[in-house]
Amino acid sequence: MTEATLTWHRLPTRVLLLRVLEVIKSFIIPLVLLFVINNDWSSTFGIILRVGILLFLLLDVIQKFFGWRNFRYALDDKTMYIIDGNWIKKEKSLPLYKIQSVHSNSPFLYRLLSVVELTFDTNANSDDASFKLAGVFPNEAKRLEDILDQVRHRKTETDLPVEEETDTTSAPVAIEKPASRLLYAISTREIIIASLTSLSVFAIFPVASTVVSSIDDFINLDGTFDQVGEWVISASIIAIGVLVLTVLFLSVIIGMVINFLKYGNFQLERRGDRIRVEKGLLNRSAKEIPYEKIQAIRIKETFIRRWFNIVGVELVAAGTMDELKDESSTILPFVKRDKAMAVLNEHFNQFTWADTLHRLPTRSLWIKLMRISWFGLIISGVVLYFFRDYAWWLVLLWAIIIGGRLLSYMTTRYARNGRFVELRTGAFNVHSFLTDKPRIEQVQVTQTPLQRRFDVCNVLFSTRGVLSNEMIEDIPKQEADAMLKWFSRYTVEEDMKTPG
Amino acid sequence: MSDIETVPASLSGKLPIEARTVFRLSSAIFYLIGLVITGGLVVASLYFDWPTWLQYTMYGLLAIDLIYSVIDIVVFQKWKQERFTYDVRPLEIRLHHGIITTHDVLIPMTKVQYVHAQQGPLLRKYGLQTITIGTAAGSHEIYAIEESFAKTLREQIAVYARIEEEDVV
Repeated sequence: MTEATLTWHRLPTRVLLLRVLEVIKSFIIPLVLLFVINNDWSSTFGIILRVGILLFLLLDVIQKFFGWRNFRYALDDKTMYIIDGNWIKKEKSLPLYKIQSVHSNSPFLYRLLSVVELTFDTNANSDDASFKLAGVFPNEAKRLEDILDQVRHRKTETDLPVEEETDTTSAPVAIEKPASRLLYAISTREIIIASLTSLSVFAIFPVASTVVSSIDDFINLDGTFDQVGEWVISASIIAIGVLVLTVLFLSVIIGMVINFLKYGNFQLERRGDRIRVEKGLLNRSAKEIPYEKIQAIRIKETFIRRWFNIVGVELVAAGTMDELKDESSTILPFVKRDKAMAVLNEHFNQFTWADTLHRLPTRSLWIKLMRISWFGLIISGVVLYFFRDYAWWLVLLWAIIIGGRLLSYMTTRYARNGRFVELRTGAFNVHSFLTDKPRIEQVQVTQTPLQRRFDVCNVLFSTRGVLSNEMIEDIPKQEADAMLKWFSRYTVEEDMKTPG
Repeated sequence: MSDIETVPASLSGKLPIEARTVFRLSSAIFYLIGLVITGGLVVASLYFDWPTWLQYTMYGLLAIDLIYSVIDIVVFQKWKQERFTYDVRPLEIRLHHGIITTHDVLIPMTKVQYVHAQQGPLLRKYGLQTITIGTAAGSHEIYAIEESFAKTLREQIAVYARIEEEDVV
């Protein structure tokens, strides 16, 4: 391709305004401190500081301007070209067929100016593996995505005969325009229930005290809260109860607002062989994960939501994108277990969940209880030596430690099911992990001397992608050997039926 | 690992006896540095007349360092060499190692992304090499094997790893 045939685009002009707003946003705290709260130009140092900051801001804005002016992109039917860089000009080109997924992201400022940020991800292992168009109009974004869709379409047509076996079974008619199908949309009720069953309800107390003390640093509250303390000591139980309830109620409301902003309008869609997750009210983002990148599925149950049969489902996906590293691989944030399983069984049926899981033998419980808790011992030592008055709290501490071990014994389950392996681990928060033999990179069995005495060991399964290691602890040695044997390429799959 | 019956040719073995010497030398150097530091602390505690309890602590540290270094050099480094076995087969690599906690690692050949060889001055003196086998999920080392054999092993793994068994990206 020669340069002449390409039409080069710049990002829209309003992106310039966006950049300026972003610069101001990132300096908002020092700006407010120096120019609003404490606008004091009397001392020399104060003047230097303020002028310096303004100059710095100005330079940053100028740099952003040239950054915008120098950034150009172009597309032909095979490749995407990008020219970038202020001092050092960089020209990048990326073959379109290598682009695995497009993520769109619209933080609040972007929405204000009605542009979106597009990220093209190749899932390769280098810094240049992905690049961004930080601010394009939605219709331009749509045009780019359509072009990519066509490229993919052409590609599937040409190498249809050698399509991957795993996928063709589940996606029979993805050849035409990839039909998008809504798998799940969050309901208001679910967000409310999730906020009520979240432990973060109690986070208000530490958060509130931090806020109060940091405000106290700036504005002299001068013991207003000491008076509150005095009041608490003298007030009746009923008054304190009312106060606590009010605070809890408030924190539920705050949690709800946060959840609405974060998960509001959450949508899970299937477009041909890709999964698309959209979420957020103020900051709206859309992530795409190609089916073949899915390495494993994790079902998460938190301590409280477990009582209500509410689970969260996330995908472990191969990829180096930042966007895939955070929770955005969550495909179902909090739904009833039946509903989650229905979606998983219908649309993620390349992974089969086992019907029955094996429990740990009793000796695993003994070894768990016998282990020395260094954490508990050190805390106990410190408390008994320095704060003997609080020794009663140690009972709670040890109850949690021992309770956690008991729970961990009770929740740990495992199963090998054909080519799948399923692990359920955790104590207070439980999660189930499911992957299959071809996607496991390696298996490691470890055994400490204590475990040798009890004839148990740990097994670590690694897949690719982030947060993709899964360890199951204290399972019988013979079971671990069986897992190694199952994983061995010298073992024929049919021989490996799940044992009784 | 006991089920070797169905397996064809494999490159398996243990670390050579020279590896033990290398391990011992390198950990001796490590502990020597530790001894110099703790010895310095003891001298400093006497010279500057630190509180008695602190002097005793320094003596204690020195003693622990001495005793542990002897145990480590005499026993642990020997075990490190003795208890390492590797087994490279056309379809998979098995490693077994561990001084006290045992590790059994199984890596399918298809998952191997690279094989490196490296050699520090100590290893070079004894004609040994360390081989690193990397996958997308991390890397593993075959600590110290004979140089020419390391080359064979490395080339063999590279050949085996090219076999395409299953196509999961």
